[in-house]
Amino acid sequence: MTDAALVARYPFLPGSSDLLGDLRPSLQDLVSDPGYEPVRHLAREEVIAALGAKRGPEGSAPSTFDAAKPEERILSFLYSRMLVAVAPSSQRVARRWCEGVASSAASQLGRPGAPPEEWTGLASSLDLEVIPAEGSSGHLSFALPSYCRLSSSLREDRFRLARQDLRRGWVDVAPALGVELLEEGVRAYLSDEVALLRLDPELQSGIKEREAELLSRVSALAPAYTPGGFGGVLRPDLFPPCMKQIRSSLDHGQNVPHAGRFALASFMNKVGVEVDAIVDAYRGAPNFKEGLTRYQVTQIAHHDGGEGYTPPDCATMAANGICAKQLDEARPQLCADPGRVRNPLNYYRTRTRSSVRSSSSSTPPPTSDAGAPKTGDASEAPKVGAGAGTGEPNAAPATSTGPASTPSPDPARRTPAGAHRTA
Amino acid sequence: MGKTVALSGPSLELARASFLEYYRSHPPPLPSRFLRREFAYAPFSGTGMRRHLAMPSAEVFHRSLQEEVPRHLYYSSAYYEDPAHPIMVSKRWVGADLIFDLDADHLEDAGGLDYPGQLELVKRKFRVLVEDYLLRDFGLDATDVQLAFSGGRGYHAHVHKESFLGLSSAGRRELVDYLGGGGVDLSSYLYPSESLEKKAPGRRAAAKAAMEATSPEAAPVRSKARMPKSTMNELPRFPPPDAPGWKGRFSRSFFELLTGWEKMSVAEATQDILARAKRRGIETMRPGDAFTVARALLEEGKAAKVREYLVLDVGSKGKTGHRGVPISFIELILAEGAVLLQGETDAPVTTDIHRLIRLPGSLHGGTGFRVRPLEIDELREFSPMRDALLPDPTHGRTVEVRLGVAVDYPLGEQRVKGAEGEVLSLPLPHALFLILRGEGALDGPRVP
Repeated sequence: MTDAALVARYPFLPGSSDLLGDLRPSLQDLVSDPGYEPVRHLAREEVIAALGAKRGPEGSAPSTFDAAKPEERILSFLYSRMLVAVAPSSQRVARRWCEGVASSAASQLGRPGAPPEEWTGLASSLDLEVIPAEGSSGHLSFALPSYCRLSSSLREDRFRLARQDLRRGWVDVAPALGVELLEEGVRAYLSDEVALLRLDPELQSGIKEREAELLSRVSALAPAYTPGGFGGVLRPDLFPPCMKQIRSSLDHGQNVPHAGRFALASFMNKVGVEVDAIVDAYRGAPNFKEGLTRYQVTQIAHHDGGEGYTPPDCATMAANGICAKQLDEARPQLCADPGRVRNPLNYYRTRTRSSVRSSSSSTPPPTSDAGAPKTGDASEAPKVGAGAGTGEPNAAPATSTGPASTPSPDPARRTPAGAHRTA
Repeated sequence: MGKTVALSGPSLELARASFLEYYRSHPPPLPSRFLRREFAYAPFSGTGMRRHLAMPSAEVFHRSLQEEVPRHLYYSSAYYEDPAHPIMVSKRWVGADLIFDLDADHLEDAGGLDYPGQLELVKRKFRVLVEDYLLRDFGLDATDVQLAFSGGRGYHAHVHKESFLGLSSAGRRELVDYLGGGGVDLSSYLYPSESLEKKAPGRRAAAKAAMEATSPEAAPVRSKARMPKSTMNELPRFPPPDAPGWKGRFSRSFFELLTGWEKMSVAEATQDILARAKRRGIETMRPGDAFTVARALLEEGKAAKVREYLVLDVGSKGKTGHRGVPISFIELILAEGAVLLQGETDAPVTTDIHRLIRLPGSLHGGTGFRVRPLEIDELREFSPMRDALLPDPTHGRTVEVRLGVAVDYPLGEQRVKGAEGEVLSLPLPHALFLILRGEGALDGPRVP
């Protein structure tokens, strides 16, 4: 498959705009030249389609886009990216858009009869080493590092390396799994691209002015994030037993291990507790330091563009010795049913829902008070956030490695030996 | 780093002088891409560590070693734009070697062993790591991997292959998890068509939860959770032993078990099956089941049949004429397989992309052993107690060491043995080993 054919189908690929050669307009022209109105029109449609696209076949690109010429597609993609970059709450919009574009690319890749060169060509332009597997099964072979790059962002067990056919540094996967991996490759590439895009302020306000209507539709399509999708009133009384126990230990001035502190902060953030109230929950802890705690809680809450860290799964909680399922007071016991509850969030979601169903007339206890009663005097800040890397899901690289990676403000270059991780 | 015993007086002087002499006569080579690496020294006195050092040349490096005489010497597995910058983010990470660290501290079965015994066990496991995983499964060439004895209680493998250097911490986690079979479902190997996922999502999730738990007790739970209710309708099947990845590994481990039984009589094999079941906590294994299986395998030729057709057909005739393999035996196979699923490498070392690691060629400040670079072929014969000992600059002159505890080590060509309070007359490297471990102190004036 030639580069041109590949780019025509996947106009977001790196180097695609090189194919425009002398036809490449300035960004200003792309924004305002009437000649590019058809391209801008295409881009608007495409952005709307991508944001509306849930993962799956229905997320395929609109038909006008399919009918467009390769140059138009490339230009339209460039303009889409600019639209996304200036959209209100652009991080959220960008994430949805990247997923949408990746998903539609995956439908293209997965269409019947897509030639293997198209897959390997796309992979190679994303700097991934992928070749058709031996035999005529349609399987793909991913070079080990390329596989790990992709699978590490995909949390389901079926992507785990140990489940794959790994032989001499190559991972053989069935076509369907291969498409999912490449979809992740596209998504990751696009989100890096969008994050790197810098438009000068004048251009930005130009786009905002011209595209006001579209941008308001975009906002509506990527609605404001409600943490964890938990609406309504907060119900600390329905928290899972592990979280109740951690809060209670903190209230009683007992030391809670790092994993527990992290779990509580990430959990409270996901169910919609404000940072201030989360910080309050730690006031009872020994050596509480407000500034540090606030910093760390904020890091957890703001991780991944405001999504926040997801609390550890129940199995991880158990492995860390902070699962408290024996204290589960739900009837029937939820913790005993790993089919329903594999993360503390499942527990809370299930209980709040059934509570709403069973007693829509009764008044739930009030609750902005997710924060703990302020007992105890003072204390070590929760070691949440920094150093979260080994166990917590989605740990950001910047906070993933403990002291060795913690910025050291001390130019005297002498730090306590215990603070280093060495091997 | 392990604990380092504080030294003082003549012991400190001797240790420091010996390290100085070593770094003068055996300057360690700089690692690959040294201009991009951070170096760090832990000194003999004090508790600090000098970090964020950059080495522009071998000459500067060797001079600084002789000036500072570090007790421990580290360098970063990572490459940075500006390795000397004191703020980590400002160093600007560009990549990192992929490191695997296997240490006696992390081996479950190392607990009851003495130091030489631990070293031997950890070496055996390290060879498996290198040969079965890094070379075979990961497809690395011997030239991509640098091995080293850590000088303490373990071994390091440094992978320098270009395509691995840019992997994020999460990508490295995937590799480390592979070593412990993270996410593997052994029973799906035996019953590929058994779709418990659809039949019992709760069970499936229980199995998954057990899988994700890192505690070893989880293993039997996992096997039971995925157990089919009956084996009547489907005989368990093994993947071909040369199948890729964990599938092949699982079969090979069962065939090894089988080979063991084939050397036994039916009675002995029955006893062995029962003993293993007991060890793995499989209480449902009845003597009758074990005997049925042993007899089928050894007398009815079923062992050969498994090898040839990969089908485990060792059941007894049931009332309806079907044959069922005792569930307890399936449980045993899975439990034995689950033993393989214990990743024993120190995972944080691999996933930490800013790690400081001992420089091969330097000295370990807790033993005086050399951090010995090793070729793969050398590994089999290598014995740290004999081969990692500091070269003796005095050629056999001895020093007097008063023992703080009773010791008994095979060290170099001799046996170092003595009771608490005893004074031993020892060659310098031997004396240093005891002194640095805190098991003895220099007695009397220092020998120059």
